[in-house]
Amino acid sequence: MIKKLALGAIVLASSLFASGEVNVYSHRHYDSDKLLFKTFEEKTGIKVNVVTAKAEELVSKLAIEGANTPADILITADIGNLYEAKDRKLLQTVESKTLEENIPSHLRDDKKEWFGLTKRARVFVYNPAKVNPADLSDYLSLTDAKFKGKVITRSSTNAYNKSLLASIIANHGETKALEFTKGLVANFSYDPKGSDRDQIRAVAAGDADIAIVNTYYLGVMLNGKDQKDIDIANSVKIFFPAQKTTGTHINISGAGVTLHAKNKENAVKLIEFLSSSEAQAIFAEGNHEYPVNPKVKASGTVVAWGTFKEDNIALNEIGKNTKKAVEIATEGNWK
Amino acid sequence: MEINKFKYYLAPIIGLSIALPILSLIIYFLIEGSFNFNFLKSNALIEYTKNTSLLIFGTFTLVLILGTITSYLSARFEYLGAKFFAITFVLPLAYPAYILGYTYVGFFEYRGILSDIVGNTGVRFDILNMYGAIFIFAIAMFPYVYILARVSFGSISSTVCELVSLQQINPIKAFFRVYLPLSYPAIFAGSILAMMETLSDYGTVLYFGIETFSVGIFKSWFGYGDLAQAINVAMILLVFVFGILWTESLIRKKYRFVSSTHSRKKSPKIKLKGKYNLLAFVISFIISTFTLFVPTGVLIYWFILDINTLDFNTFDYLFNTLTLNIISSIIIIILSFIMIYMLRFYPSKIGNITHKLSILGYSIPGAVIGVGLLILSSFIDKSLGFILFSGTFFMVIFAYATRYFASSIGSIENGFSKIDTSIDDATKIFGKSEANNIFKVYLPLMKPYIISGFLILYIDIAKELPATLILRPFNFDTLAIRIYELASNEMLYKVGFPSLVLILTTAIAVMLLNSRFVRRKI
Repeated sequence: MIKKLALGAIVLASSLFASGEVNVYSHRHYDSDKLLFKTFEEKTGIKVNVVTAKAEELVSKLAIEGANTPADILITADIGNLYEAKDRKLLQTVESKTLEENIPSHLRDDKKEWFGLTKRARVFVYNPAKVNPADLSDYLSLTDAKFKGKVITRSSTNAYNKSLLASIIANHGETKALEFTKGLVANFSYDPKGSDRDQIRAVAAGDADIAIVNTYYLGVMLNGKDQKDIDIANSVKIFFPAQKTTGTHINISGAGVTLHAKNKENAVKLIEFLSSSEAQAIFAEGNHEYPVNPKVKASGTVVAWGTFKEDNIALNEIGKNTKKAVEIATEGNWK
Repeated sequence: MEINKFKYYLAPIIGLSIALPILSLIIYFLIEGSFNFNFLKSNALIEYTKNTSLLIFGTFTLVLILGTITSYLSARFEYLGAKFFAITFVLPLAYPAYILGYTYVGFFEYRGILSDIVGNTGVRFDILNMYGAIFIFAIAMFPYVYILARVSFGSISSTVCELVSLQQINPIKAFFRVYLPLSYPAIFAGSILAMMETLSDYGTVLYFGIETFSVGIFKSWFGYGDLAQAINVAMILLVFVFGILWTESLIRKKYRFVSSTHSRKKSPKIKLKGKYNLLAFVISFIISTFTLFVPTGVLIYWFILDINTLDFNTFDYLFNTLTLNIISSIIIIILSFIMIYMLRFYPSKIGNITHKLSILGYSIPGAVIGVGLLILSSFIDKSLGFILFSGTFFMVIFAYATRYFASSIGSIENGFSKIDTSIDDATKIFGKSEANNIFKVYLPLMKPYIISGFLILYIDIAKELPATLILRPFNFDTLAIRIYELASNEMLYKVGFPSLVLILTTAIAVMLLNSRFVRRKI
């Protein structure tokens, strides 16, 4: 402990004088990220200090700490919280040719305050024994009376559902979004509970026919050591919604440099590294997310699901509508 | 004289400091926002109140039933496997509620472990609901009642027992007529601990889809980025807590007579024979199966699935957990000792009030305490112009003190209450220095209570997650944090190994707590 305390003091002292490190607040708790930070340290000699917590907590923490914050980088697992940080003036602009080359323009902020690192597609998982994929179309179609009692998803408090609803507001307007929420709730098999993995299981078990989930959960199940998980993941199928209209809703994991970063140069270096082909491949293989860097291929599992049309709406529009989405979810009684 | 005056202030200062993170939230709330009275009329509040009431009432009832049965069996009877069950009844205390939640989902879910055991994929049981949550909290917390009530049942005087046998009342009747009323205070004290802990939980209730006050706090905070509204909900939670504490103090007053029927002359345990022996065994076995064997079995099963891919960094997390916990527990137990000692010898009204304030944290979600502390430390750091507290271990330890002060001073108070005031008088007559009295008289007398307070703190802190998550310094992950990360990645089987390591450490603490050395004088 004393060693740790001393270490803490050294870390603190060196953060004031030296530039050999970068401090990261991250919501991403995947082992792929641990590996990436280690690789970056080995390549550059810059020490990466990480603290993980929920994105909402990290944004609150940044706001409360103000100029005293030790954090140089904020990494979230969704656009909503990244936008919230930008909106609360907790991030700063970053000029980087590398980032502009590695990340397509619709996956980074037009004001250069945040940059997408991975893409996550919010899709339908369905039971092929009960659902004819020809009956499926876009998100709004889930409110159709023929799906009564057959649809499930997590709580509306979940960041991915908030972003999905925000994208529906941005694409179709508030009235449609409320209709969607009410229709969806009316078609729920039961009130939302559990994780994405639990939703997939429920479809496999026949408790529901269609679930709205992120693809990588299925990827993780398929590549785990639990044979039952593998069987379950194999027994369901993925449907990419809204192919004839807006395209499938895409969320991002992303990063921004904090307004009061003390190691801005290193912070930019780290984000640049994370967008590089080498790092993007680790993201893709480690957690089965879609890489943002077009030069990098998704993992074998993910490639097998096929290509699809993505919703390329400006992510800031989704961010802007996130609070509205919470209001609409509450009004529509989506728990 | 000046120093003596200062001593009157010491307890209030400690009590107030411990409550500071909560108080700073209240101050922040008063400055930044105002109470939203519309919220009082909203459907959400009705929902939170309904769910919270149901959850804590259900947990209270089940904890009461499980705790009373186990403690009565263990304290009064000798039966097949009694010694073994005396240990298995206390061990669930080593399990954090969220781990029990995961293991039971893994056991009962579609194609879960149960369906494998019976060889039928149709066999499953949905526990992600109110009943499931009550079940999980009850099995996680009934040992509180077991530990307290076992002492109480065990120390019922032999006169009472002789009376029972003279009247030839059968054991079950005797239980309801005689022993249960005599042990009410201990049973209630344990149940109230269980209720307070249930109120503070966030992760488990969210996973189970139950909207309680703590879920409401996080919905406002995370959903709208609205800390003031979140504190609004937290205020109502505090009212709830006060209600429970007030009820508890009323009950405690009502049953104060009880102590006189407990005497030094303890009655011997009754040896059960025949069908009663079998019945006691079966009941104990069923209870331990659900509260201990199933969760442990699931974790071991997951550990085996993971055996070729084990993450040996787990031992680094173990080292972090152990060092942080031991240091925190020592600091908090010392503060508790000073506080209660000062209240005994230098009592004051304000001291008693701050004493009440200092135990509030036990029912407040750790993340809320974490934010209170962030606000406080940020204010101090900004005023100083440099970083003194933010991102240091001091913050984490402070949060633990606020969160778990109640459980450590409980033990210390219990110890002091057993020291007769004649000893206080005697030490005064001898006229030795106060330091001498503390180190030569009170500390030795208090040893078992200090150790048990330390162990309880250790167990609570090892299981703590949300405050550690927000406040810990860079690059410092504990076992609880690692388990949370893996569970968030939704790779349940990976949770097995770190959970087993965590539970092994808390189980050792539980066994020590249960050992003769610590228990002898309690």
